[in-house]
Amino acid sequence: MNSPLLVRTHAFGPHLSIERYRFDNGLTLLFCPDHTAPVFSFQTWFSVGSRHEYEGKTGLAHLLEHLMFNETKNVPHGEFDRRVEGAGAESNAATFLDWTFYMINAPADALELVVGLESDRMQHLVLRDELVASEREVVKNERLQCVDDDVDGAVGERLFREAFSTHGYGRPTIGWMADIEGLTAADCREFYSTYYAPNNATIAVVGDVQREVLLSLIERCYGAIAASELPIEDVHPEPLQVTERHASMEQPTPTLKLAIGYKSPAMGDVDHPALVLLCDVVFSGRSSRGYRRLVHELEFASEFGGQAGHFRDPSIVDISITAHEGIAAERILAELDELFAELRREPPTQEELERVKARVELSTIQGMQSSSGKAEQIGFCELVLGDPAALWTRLDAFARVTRSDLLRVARRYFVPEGRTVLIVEPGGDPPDSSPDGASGVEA
Amino acid sequence: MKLLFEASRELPLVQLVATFRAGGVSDPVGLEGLSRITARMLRRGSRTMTGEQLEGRVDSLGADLAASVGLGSTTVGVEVVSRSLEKAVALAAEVIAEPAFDEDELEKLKRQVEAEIVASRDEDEGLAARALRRRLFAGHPHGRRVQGTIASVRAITREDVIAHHRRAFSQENAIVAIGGDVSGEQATDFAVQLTERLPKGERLPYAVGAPVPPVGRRLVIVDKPERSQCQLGIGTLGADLADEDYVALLLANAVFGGMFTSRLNQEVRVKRGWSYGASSGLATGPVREAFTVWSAPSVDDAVACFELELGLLEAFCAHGIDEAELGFAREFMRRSYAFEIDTGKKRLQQKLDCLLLGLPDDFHAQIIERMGAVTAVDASRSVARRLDPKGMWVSAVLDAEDVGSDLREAIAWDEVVVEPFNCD
Repeated sequence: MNSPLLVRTHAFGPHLSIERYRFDNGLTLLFCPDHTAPVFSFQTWFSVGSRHEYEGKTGLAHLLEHLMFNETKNVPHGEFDRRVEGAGAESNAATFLDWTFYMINAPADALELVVGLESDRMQHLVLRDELVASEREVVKNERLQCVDDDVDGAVGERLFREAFSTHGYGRPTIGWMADIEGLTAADCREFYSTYYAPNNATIAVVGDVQREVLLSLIERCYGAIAASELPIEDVHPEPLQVTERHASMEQPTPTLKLAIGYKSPAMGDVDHPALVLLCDVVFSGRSSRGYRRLVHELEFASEFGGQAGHFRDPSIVDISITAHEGIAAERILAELDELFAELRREPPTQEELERVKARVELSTIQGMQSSSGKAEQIGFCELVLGDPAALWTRLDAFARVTRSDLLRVARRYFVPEGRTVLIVEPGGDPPDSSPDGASGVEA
Repeated sequence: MKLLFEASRELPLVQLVATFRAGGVSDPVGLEGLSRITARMLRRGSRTMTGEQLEGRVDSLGADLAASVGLGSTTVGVEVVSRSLEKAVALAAEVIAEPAFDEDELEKLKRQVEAEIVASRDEDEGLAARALRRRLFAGHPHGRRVQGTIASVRAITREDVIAHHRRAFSQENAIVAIGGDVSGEQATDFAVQLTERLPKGERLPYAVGAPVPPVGRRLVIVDKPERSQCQLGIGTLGADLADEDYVALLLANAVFGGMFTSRLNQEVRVKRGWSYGASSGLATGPVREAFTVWSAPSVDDAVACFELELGLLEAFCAHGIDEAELGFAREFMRRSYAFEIDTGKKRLQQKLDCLLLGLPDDFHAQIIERMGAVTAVDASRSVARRLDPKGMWVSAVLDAEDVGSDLREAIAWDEVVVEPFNCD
């Protein structure tokens, strides 16, 4: 393997930078030296998520994520976690619609161990039937905990299912229970060999690491891994929604809830920064219009929030509301309609705009406090936007947003025909955790 | 007023924290939630600002304002971008010292808290945790809910809030912690500004005695219909921070349920797949706190999972841990300590926690050092001395008539209590 190519350097905030390296087998390394503490975060981001699954095999990306901690040809079952904890490190992973990532945060002197473990499981994972069966049970319990017995989880799953008729974003990342039960070791092996390859991976390293040591280790440990031929994604863009959708469900919850999804653009869309700021005007913090009106003044809601989706493809502004006892869904919806109608007539004030810009600046800086936080931002922004420093470069985009932009995105996205409304009534059985449980209709 | 300072100049961000030694345990009986209501009222208007103006001002500065209440303290914290620091200090000083305590706002807040208490019944994990603490610390202030109950919140008056504020929010009772992109000299000035409008007052004691250990094995079933999963907790008393067994217990807990590779997680999750996670924890405080075991099996596995965990706990108490396990846990805790202090914000919080508990600044570093002297025999003796598997409460959120009846038959309980999930 030849020496890695330093493609470019990205400025990352006031004091840091990200070095982008490209290896012969297609592996990308994003390295941000940061010597403020004797620790580092090593994250591997694969450009594969639940959007790459298909009906009948939902939950596969997430199950494989669990199995990545189990056994390789070189590391016996249970040894991965043992070695990680023995080094005083912590490991975790997450799967979502667009991506899957693996993280190890470790003391500075554990770099060789971490690179060895991560490169090993990228190429030598063992997927035995009994291990897959055991981990399937863990995932089923995770589903019970996070969806079937969790009202918010069940509602979120249902909202996405109703909002997306075609695109893979309508399928739950954790998978339908029936699908999880049917996943086999062969399914996992095929998914692993297809997507877990250096040319589908980005490594983000932030922390107290010496550049030469890191590059040498990556070359030594990853150099022999062959690139794979990645399949063309069988993506089905979501058709334009032209009619408001309504659905309802019952949940064992003491109070009525509403979940509303307004169709929204991809994170890389030119409208996205303006929509994020407009959402902040309506949903973010106690000075937001929605909180002031629905929670504080009218006392219709005890909990209220919403945010624009941060995904590679168009998704939804995801709004959730918990009603006060005795408040009907129609009253809440009417207030929300009036609030959005106001925003379509007249944009937020300049003061409101400056306020949400200041909030975004604060949250950007807050995201930079730990090495793992920084690595996560770098990996996520690279996977979704192709710009590892987008946490900061987007600040410029936010700064350019005007009141005209806010008016434009309000009129484009906060329209009834582009939304899905899910009303959650107290009582009833647990959710039907199958795709056929849907009862949504086009109104 | 005590000042703690931790410079961290990498980012243009500053943390301002004012903590007062008064929390949930000092709320009068029947007025549980008073400390928390008082803290939340600080955000609902001050001498020169309405609540709406105040929240708008916070956001405009590029700041986060938080008011939180624990068992023994109330904290008002501001995190702000450096360029707005001076304005944020002025704002925080007014919020802390000159609240309006408007009557209408108080009534609104009480109704909101009531709605939040109702909404919190959605969360089974919280239901199980509250039921366990309420039983384990029955009759003790640590068993009370900091948030209060619907009845106690309704009973709180404006006069109660004003009196609590006058007593708790004083200079002598305050600790100010300032960290981030700020100099020591600035921090001293800001600490004075933050507290100069407060009355001198007095330092309030943490007047709480030791809890009484549970006798016998007792079960509380939080009856919630249509559960497919059971939140399961086992609790007994552990140790206080001054306990000579504390350090050994920390290590032993790591072996039993404090790491991913712990006995508990290996047996429950890794070998059997019965729960997404299984862990144990040793809560810390100035008086003896709880040792708890948590898991969330499906209702079909709930009884078997409980029996397994009980067996593991009994074996742990009877036989302790061995040298290899101890060595592994010690190395894990020694090396992972780097993540307890890897940001200025964490270092500042650690100092604040130590001061609140009357511990030296380097208490946590000392703990790591003291672990070096602990042997497996020491740890095993500490476990046997402090953890009693025959004196415990178990809490389980499930359908009482369904799996609940199987759990009642699992062992010979000394007491079984069934309470509806919608009680406070």
